[in-house]
Amino acid sequence: MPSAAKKWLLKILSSRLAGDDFVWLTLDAPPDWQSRPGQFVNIRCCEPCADELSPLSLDDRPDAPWPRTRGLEIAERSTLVRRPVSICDLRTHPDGGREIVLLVRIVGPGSRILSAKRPGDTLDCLGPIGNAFNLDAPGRRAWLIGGGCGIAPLVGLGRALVARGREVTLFYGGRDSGKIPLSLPPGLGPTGTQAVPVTGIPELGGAPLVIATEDGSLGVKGLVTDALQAYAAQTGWDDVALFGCGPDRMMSAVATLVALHDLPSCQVSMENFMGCAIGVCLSCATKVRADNTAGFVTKFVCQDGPIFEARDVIFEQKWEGCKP
Amino acid sequence: MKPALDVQVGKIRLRNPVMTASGTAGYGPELAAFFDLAELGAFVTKAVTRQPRAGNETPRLVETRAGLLNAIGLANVGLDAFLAEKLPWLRDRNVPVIVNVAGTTVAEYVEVAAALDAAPGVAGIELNISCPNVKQGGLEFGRSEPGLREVVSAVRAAVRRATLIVKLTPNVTDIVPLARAAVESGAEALTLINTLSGMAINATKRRAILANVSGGLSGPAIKPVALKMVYDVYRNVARQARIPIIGVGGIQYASDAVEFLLAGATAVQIGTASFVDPAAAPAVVRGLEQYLAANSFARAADLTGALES
Ligand SMILES: Cc1cc2nc3c(=O)[nH]c(=O)nc-3n(C[C@H](O)[C@H](O)[C@H](O)COP(=O)(O)OP(=O)(O)OC[C@H]3O[C@@H](n4cnc5c(N)ncnc54)[C@H](O)[C@@H]3O)c2cc1C
Ligand SMILES: Cc1cc2nc3c(=O)[nH]c(=O)nc-3n(C[C@H](O)[C@H](O)[C@H](O)COP(=O)(O)O)c2cc1C
Ligand code: FES
Repeated sequence: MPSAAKKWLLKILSSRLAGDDFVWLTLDAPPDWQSRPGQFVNIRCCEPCADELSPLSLDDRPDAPWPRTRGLEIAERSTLVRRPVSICDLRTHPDGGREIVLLVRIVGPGSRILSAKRPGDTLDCLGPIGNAFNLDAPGRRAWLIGGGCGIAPLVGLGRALVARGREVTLFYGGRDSGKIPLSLPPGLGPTGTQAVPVTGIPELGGAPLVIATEDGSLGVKGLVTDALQAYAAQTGWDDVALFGCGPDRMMSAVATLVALHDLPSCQVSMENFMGCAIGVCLSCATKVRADNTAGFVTKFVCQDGPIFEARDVIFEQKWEGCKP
Repeated sequence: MKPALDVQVGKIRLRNPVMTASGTAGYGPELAAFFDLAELGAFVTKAVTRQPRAGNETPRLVETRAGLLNAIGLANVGLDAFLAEKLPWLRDRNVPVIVNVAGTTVAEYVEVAAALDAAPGVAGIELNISCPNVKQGGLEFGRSEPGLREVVSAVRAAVRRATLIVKLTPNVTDIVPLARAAVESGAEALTLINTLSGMAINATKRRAILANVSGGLSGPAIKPVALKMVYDVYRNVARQARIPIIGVGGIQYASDAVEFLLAGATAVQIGTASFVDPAAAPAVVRGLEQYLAANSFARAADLTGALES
């Protein structure tokens, strides 16, 4: 299916470091920008960008002295292909202005370049790309499960579900407290095996958060699935729809719980290396269960996803992406 | 005066020398969301094989310094679905369509090429001979002269209408004799180069990154290699034989395209750069036109092999 994505030059409104290695970026949303929770943008990461030094083509700058591109190959610091980043949220201000929120974990050259961008700089983004979370999945309660930068798409999703009257709870797993890019209220500490929802986190707009850390320094000691089970032990599994985004290993563990408790729906956001994100390179293949001799069909995360029903996905756990 | 951009490749008159590269532009609709395909000199499709192919396990692609390493595994819809579902859309786009053909036996190449030759709307057939020949223990057709001659002459006999283009692999000791063999076997044009064989290793896990272990390197990293191969084949084979070369490998900017034409290419293809910017190919067309005007060239064709010595 041809993508509805377009190329945009989006102006950065703010940049704020968070946790040990995250950056929040807000971008000015053009009037005709439309996106839904779960979609993402594919960002060109360059410093300075070719368009500033010398255009990708030469036509944009008719007065540019010829040739300008040899120096460019040496002067430009960039990743070759773009980097996919989830649309964390799309917020409307009281004055009517809208901003796109991104949360980027700094893990390598591309994300580092993004973290060095300043307000007023522009980002060359293709988007919005991909399908979106189905907000009408059955369940009065919505449990959102994320790890690492997997919290990103869940932020806007949480707000949208709250607006639809769902009782939303977020679950977040990280190695230690430094891996949490949120403005947590002061005085939080370990809760051992007890799932204790934290409220009043500004980035989450009111939804309570249950935290799990592997070293136990904050919230439940263990994995996010441990926090999920501790919470369910208090409230039961009835009338719950699950939504998840995180490494394959985490999503696969979530899918196991879904099967165990026979939950009707668990939508997960999948990752894979993306060469193009427009459906031409065929790198982002994911196996989805099917009634054929192979037992699966190949789907493409950038076109058919990134959101899939967990029960349909064959988790190969080969992909680590942005680690929690 | 506006410079004339049109060039001739075999029996195809191209509006300008810029095409997409196989495997980086899908079957058309994906890129058409970003620009009008009629802005291209020609559209080159993803490889088509007799049967549909699912492709390799993932990871299939990884970025390396200034390059991309891919082992997609020729994933494609197969001949029947291409003819029924992809070609009808593509042939109405007012752009010459060149179909990239792959196979594992000579018979498969011939069958696919003959079916495409008979299909209205196919202007050219580009033979991707960087595929393992199952009868020869998996040695790529394009890596041995006998293998290359066998497949090209067999396809030559089956193709009457469409222009036959042979796409050469750079993974050989000397590309010149293979280019000569392709021309002698009936190629009307040569595309060079396909990806360079390479690998990437994750030192932490002590494992190859690609599931397939090795893959093909593309992007800016391979441009100097591709330029030299175009130069050598132009000087030693193509110029005398009057066979056009389609240069490909790492072209990102219009200046890169100009360099390929100067080295001896008549046309160019844009591959990996389309991932960076889906509209890279039309941008190269506009930059090329500007270069010609600024340097008082009346025709794009005048650039071919115009390297000062
Ligand atoms: C649909 C999708 C949504 C994502 N959303 C977010 C998000 O909201 N926030 C966030 O911080 N990260 C997100 N990621 C992960 C993010 O794309 C990678 O962390 C980023 O590409 C790293 O690039 P780098 O140059 O900084 O690091 P590198 O050193 O290049 O890579 C670090 C890790 O990211 C992977 N990666 C690199 N390039 C790509 C690529 N083109 N496509 C996919 N993975 C790649 C690498 O394989 C490696 O595992 C998302 C990925 C996908 C596929
Ligand atoms: C993801 C990918 C898939 C490709 N698939 C094909 C293919 O199906 N057939 C083919 O002949 N070449 C294929 N190629 C090679 C390109 O057409 C081109 O020769 C090569 O990438 C060098 O050009 P570039 O550096 O501009 O990308 C592929 C390249 C890439 C990156
Ligand atoms: S990233 Fe290229 S097809 Fe999905």
